[in-house]
Amino acid sequence: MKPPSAAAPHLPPRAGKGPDLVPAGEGSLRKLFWRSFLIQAAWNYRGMQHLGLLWAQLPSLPADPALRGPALRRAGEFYNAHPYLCGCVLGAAARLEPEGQGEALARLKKAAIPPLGAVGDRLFWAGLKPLSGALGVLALAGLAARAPQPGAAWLPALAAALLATLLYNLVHLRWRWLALRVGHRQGLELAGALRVLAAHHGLARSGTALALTAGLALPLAAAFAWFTTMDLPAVELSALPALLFLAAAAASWQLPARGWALPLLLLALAALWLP
Amino acid sequence: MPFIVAVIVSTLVYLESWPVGQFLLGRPALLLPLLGLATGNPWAGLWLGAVLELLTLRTLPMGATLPPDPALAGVWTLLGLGAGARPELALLIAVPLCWLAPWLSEAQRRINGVLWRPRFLQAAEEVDAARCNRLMGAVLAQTALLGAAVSALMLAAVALAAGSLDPLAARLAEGRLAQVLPLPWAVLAVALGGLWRHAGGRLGRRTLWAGAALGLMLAALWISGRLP
Repeated sequence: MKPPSAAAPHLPPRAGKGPDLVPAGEGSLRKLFWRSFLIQAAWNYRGMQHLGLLWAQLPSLPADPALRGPALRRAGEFYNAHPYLCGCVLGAAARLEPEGQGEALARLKKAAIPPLGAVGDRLFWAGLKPLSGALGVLALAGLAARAPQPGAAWLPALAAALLATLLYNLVHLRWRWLALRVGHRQGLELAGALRVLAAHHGLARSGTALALTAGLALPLAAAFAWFTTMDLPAVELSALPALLFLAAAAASWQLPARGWALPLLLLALAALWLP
Repeated sequence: MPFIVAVIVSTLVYLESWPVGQFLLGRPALLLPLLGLATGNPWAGLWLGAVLELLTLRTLPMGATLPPDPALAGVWTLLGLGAGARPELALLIAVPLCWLAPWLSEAQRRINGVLWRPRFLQAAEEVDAARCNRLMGAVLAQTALLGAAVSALMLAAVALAAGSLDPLAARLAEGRLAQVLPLPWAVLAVALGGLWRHAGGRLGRRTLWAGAALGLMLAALWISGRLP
């Protein structure tokens, strides 16, 4: 399988670009791309992703022994940013280390950690991941309401959940490759490129799409709950199930996302359901 | 499902969750309904998929934080339960497991720091790229072994716990409130409330209410039979 082809975004040309000194061509970038999938494999609390980055950088290290040693030691310095965007630093290293600009690369790496983390977290962890998850869950809630028995009737909803995951990964893989290309092309001018990356492809709007999906999901799920419980003896055409559903949703409003508050609330909720 | 297959599946899900790739192939909304069908627990798989996905959407793996792990918790629960388990029982076991499962990742991260970090840095100091490659292979093998060992323990623990919690799950399914709204729907509602809070922050509030208005319209059309 080839990495997804992705044109670099519309970036300003690299200032003072002379003859191309970069030994890492498309083939070497592909090696870096595949290795970037193990960026977190040796994650630890001292250097975080540094060992993964060190290992991923190996194919792009300069062959000259005078440059190779210091480059390898620099590659093992602290690093932690969003894993999908580690290509920016990998690409920049593939360009700068053979040019003998290792010290500048080390400074760039340190400076790039916060923006790479912030951009990646906002686009993927806080935007695209919840969005694709919410779409998948909406399909499953519809399934729970509509299909009485497992079987062929479940296929459309399962296909929708699969599609949500596939779409997420299309964007994920494209961005991994794009980050590598941008880092390699821009080198020391990576900071400017990051701003372009952040606004690229309208991915920043995934938060808006998530808000719309979440808004849509609550009344629909309440209706699904109502529909499913209509044949229960205590219901008899009343709106109680939907009201109870909305009350339970409101109960979680002020809960913090971290810690044990949520599982404890759920246990308390379960106690209410005991006869 | 044979025990050894269950351990292998759990280990693969663990490896994919953060050490390798992070493709989110193990995300609950996709994986757990499929596993539920495969293990004879279709409804438990469906509810776990929907509820665990939503419950953990707000907890983001930013920086060094280890958020709850719904994929591993769901997989351990579904593979550890016998066929035909009630969704209430699956939820009783899987929800706390979500918050316990990250301890495996925590242990692995500490092992990486103590066992592998000094070796990697020494190989870098000696400019030994071949040793770095071998070390990465060893890290992956050790991570997989630890994942498999913990998975085997957890699968056995879930099977044991299921026996003692089943009467409680049966009571939860028969209570007075359960006659109005089954517990899994109530848990889903709590999870959706959390999603609203997450999505409605900052600039999303107006869009959220616009979506809710659209959802109400669709729900009314659907209930009145005007939508298929």
